[in-house]
Amino acid sequence: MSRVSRDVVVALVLIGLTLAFFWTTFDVRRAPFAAIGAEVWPRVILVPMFLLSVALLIKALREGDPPEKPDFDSFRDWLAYYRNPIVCFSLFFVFLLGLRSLGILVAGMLFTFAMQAVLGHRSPGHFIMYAAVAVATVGGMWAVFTYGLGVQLPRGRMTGI
Amino acid sequence: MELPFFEILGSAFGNVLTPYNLMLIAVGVLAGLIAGSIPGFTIAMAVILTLPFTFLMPPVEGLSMMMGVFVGGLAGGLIPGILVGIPGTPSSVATTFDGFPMARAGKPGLALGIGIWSCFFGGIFSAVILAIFAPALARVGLEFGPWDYFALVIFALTITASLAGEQLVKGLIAGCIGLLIAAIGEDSLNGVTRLTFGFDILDQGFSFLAVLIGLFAFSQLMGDIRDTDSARRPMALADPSAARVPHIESIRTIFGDVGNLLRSSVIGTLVGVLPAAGGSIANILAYDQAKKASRTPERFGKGAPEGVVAAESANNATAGGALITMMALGIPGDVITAVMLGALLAHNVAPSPSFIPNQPVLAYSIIVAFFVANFIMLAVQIFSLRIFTVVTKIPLYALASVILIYCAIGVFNLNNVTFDIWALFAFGVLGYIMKVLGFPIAPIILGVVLGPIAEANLVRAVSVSSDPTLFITRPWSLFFLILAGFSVLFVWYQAQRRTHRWTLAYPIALVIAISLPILMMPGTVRPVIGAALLLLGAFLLWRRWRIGWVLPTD
Repeated sequence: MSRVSRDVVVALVLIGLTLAFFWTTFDVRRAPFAAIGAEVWPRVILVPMFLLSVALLIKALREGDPPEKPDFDSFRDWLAYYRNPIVCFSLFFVFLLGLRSLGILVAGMLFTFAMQAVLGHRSPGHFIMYAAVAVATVGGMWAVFTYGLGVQLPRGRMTGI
Repeated sequence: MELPFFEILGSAFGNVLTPYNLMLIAVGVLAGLIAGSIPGFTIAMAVILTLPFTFLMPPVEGLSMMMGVFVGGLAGGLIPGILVGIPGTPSSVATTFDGFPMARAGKPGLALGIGIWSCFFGGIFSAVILAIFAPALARVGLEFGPWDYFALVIFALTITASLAGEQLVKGLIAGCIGLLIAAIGEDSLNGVTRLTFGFDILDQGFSFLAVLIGLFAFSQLMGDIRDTDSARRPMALADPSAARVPHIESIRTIFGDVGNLLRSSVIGTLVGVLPAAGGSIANILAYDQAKKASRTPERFGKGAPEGVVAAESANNATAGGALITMMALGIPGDVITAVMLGALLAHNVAPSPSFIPNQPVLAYSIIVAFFVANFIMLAVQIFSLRIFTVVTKIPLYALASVILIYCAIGVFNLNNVTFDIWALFAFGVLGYIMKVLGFPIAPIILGVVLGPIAEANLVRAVSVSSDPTLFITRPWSLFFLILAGFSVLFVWYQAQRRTHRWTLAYPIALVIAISLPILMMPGTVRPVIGAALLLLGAFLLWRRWRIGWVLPTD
């Protein structure tokens, strides 16, 4: 059984999104005295976008996947290939979740340390260096903004900084 | 009352040449050089990271610093390009073709010297062109009605998408996605919310910078660190003694090849003027032209100094060209000037054709800052080359972890709301997924920047007249729409140039087609240019007829 081309799926998702966005333009309130309504411009974008998505679908059905697309035999292979970006995005997501309770200074330091620890070399010496880098870079930038520029960066409820 | 030109220039120099401002430019140049010298760390990222610092500064100081980063970033790419054969930025790709072989042949200092002085010359050349032509282009821009502006935006988007090459459809879709992102939230004209799917938090739309940084910085960094080996590998360089530069010999070498230097600077400036075409195209184009014009093309790729001269002078000249379009028309020439545009807007300055006439001192201060930044770039490069050879040893994973947090802090600083950091994350994910799926990022970014401009002008055009034929009967609008059509066709033209006969007609059709709107323009000079182009087109057609529609066999 031949696999469905990746771009076919992408094109179908785009067509779906385009239709969903187009549908919402019917809910846009009409401002009185407006020369053209606020829904017109999105429709001007969505019509060519829909046509282009259909063109992409046809192209993908005819040509299949682009040659540069990496092939994976299993989900595990795919996961291994994209491990670093997935981990980084997950860490950043955790950083965002921790922002309210820890504040940007502590959450930022933890994120910087964790990302280096995950991607870099793992040894006690390296971990000490990662901690130093995290404290110096994030702490330094935080100090510049807080004391130098007078910007109130997000404080943590738990940490108070 | 209009100020005399020399008074404006005097005030601009007075604004820029203060010790504090010069220090800011120097800091910007240093930051740009560091960013440019680290492969994977782009100039746009450096400008983005500088942006939060400039919010609390007066416009002249903030923009001077950003000019420093811009110029420094463009120049910084040559250091790893020459010393280790890995270009620091896409703008220095062609520099590696001859710069690296020169370094390996035992002349790293000379290669660096030629690169640095070529950068400087290209930058100064484009600064002079910027000072002369930006006001003139702004005067032309004052003729633009909303129809013409709308067509110009369409042209900018199509040319960006066409740079996606084989992936033209994806490039155009990416442009549409950018326009759509900019349309989410309240529309700027009536204050009516749209495309929010009922989420109140989206009523204000997305912060332009959060979108831009998320799409660009995240996707770039995640691409760089995907492979653990490349994320961990330090950029080990040659011995720091490689940074010893014979300046006199370098200057003698580049001025011994002054034709190449001038031609490449012109190419760089012209490519920079084109919306969305940046240094990455200019340096390869100039290199190619230098090779074609050379009496010894066989030396290219084996350490020919002319190759370095061409690539680096064109690369830095794109900056002035991109600034011409941004300042005179309010259209960003590339991702970097898109960020600059955002910075200007953050300072309540909206570049448009009326910007230079209405705020001449500020406009010329930016031009002077760009001019001065090139001198400071030269000085900083001369005295601190060794620092950059050390900087390139930082592994990417350490850099990426710090940059992402700096981006978060910078984005928060814009409006002081954590939603912007969430938006940064969301667009980071979107940007990376799109990159993985083969969608180019630049059209999305330009779509986000140009969307509001396009919508405002479309609404204005419809408000003034409901006649849609004005889009094709007004000369400038027709001119840009023709260019947009040809820029879309350009992808097929490039792909089928030596295999399909229709491509023989493409340049002839382009010349004839653009001559028509120019003929329609008012005045004497432009119709004469239009007539000349029409005659040229007719001549090319006649010559092709004589030769026959035969494809070249070489």
